[in-house]
Amino acid sequence: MSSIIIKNLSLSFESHYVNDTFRELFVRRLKKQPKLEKKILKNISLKFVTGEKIGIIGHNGAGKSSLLKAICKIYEHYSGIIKIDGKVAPLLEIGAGFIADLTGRENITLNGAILGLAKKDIINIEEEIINFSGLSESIDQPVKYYSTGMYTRLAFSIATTIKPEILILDEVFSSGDLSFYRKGRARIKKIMDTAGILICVSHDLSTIKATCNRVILMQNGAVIKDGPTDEVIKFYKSTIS
Amino acid sequence: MFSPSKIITFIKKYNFLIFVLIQKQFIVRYRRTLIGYLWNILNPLVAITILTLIFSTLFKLDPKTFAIFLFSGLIAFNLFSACISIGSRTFIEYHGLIDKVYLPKILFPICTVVSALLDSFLVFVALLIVMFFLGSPISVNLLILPISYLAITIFSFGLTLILSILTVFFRDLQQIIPYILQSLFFLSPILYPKTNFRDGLLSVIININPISVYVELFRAPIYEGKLPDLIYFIYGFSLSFTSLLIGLLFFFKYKHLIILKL
Repeated sequence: MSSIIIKNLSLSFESHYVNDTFRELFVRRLKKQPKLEKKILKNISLKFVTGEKIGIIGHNGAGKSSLLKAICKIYEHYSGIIKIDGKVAPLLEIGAGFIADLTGRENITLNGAILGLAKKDIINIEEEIINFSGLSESIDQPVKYYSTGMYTRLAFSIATTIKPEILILDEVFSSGDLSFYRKGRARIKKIMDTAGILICVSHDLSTIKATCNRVILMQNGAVIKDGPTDEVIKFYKSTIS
Repeated sequence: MFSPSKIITFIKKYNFLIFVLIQKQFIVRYRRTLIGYLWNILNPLVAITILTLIFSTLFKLDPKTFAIFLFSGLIAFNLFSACISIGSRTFIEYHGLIDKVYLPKILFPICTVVSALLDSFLVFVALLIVMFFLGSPISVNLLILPISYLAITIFSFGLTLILSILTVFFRDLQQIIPYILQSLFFLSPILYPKTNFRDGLLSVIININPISVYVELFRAPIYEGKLPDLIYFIYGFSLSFTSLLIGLLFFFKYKHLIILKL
């Protein structure tokens, strides 16, 4: 059984001054300008359990991706509690965790190692990943020559082949082609059957509708609606128009 | 925070990733070069040859002896310098990875130091072979070198931990560090014996420069064929563990903030 418990999660960033040169630092100190802080997530409490397929929607800058990054421990400077049970496979951006100069095959090894697999496990699943991604012809070429769609296919294949208990997807469906999209859906269903949690962020409401059974609507860093898919999407649409 | 059992679990969990990251560095660096890894050995060999030709003529010394004298100092300095110069940029170099997947941050300085150490070993072996053919005596006391390596590696690792984080916050360090390393090179007794400067400001600087101690730990077995004085080991390891302790404390205090500045 896997679960994610988030309690009173807040996250803020110090806004960057564009140019941190000595002179500007000095002037700021003299004038005692306060640091610019921007709150990205405000006091979020959520609980996800096995079998939930959660879609996160909201406008640009609502804090969706930041929430995912906090869950994946990429942002460690939050206040509050995040408790995770289960093996997480994050797929945050196209090409995340890939090194452009390495070949597809080498990146499979790197990604597998990043996700915590041992060498023999990676060798075992390598063929499966290559077959599922449909990239057997270009797998030994550096990934910098890949198209966006190829990147997505490889990343998605890796993240799902390692049989994660928690799969986190950030806008990954938008760039694969239709046949891969269908294959991907079937695979997510399989992961969900073997006990797991799916969290996905997307602007494409039809994808969310087809994949998720719970939707969270975020605005300005806070959760403003949380409930069954249809209900929340309906509410979201009513706020836009 | 640093209990042995935790360290062992950490190594078990991440040793393969460390291996892959180091391998990746080599692959990226030498892909499409004709002689690949040999560059790593050739570079210091060329440097030593040039420096020997110039300085043995300048100081009117026997080039063969001078080459070994130089090499014994250079091997220590190059290890330190590689850790610092690569280590200080490591988070900036890997920001694409750190930004998007979770990895314990300390892996990156570890990879830097381990790969610098590997480089150093290979160069050492290559030069040992050259030494052998030059007909210079190879002493049993060389067996003490692993301990010398340990001392300078711990020292460099501590400093790398600090500089890797500082450089993220103060990018100017990327420009400053090469100058500091270059000054350190000339202020360490690598091209000349420490005894050349007996008094004055320069001798004080050379004597308090930590690199001098480590140079001595390498020079005694390689060049003089004898064991270094115990006092150098004591001094060296005290410096090493001070550097490591401060490095770790600093690193774990600030590591979660680097993501904000990458």
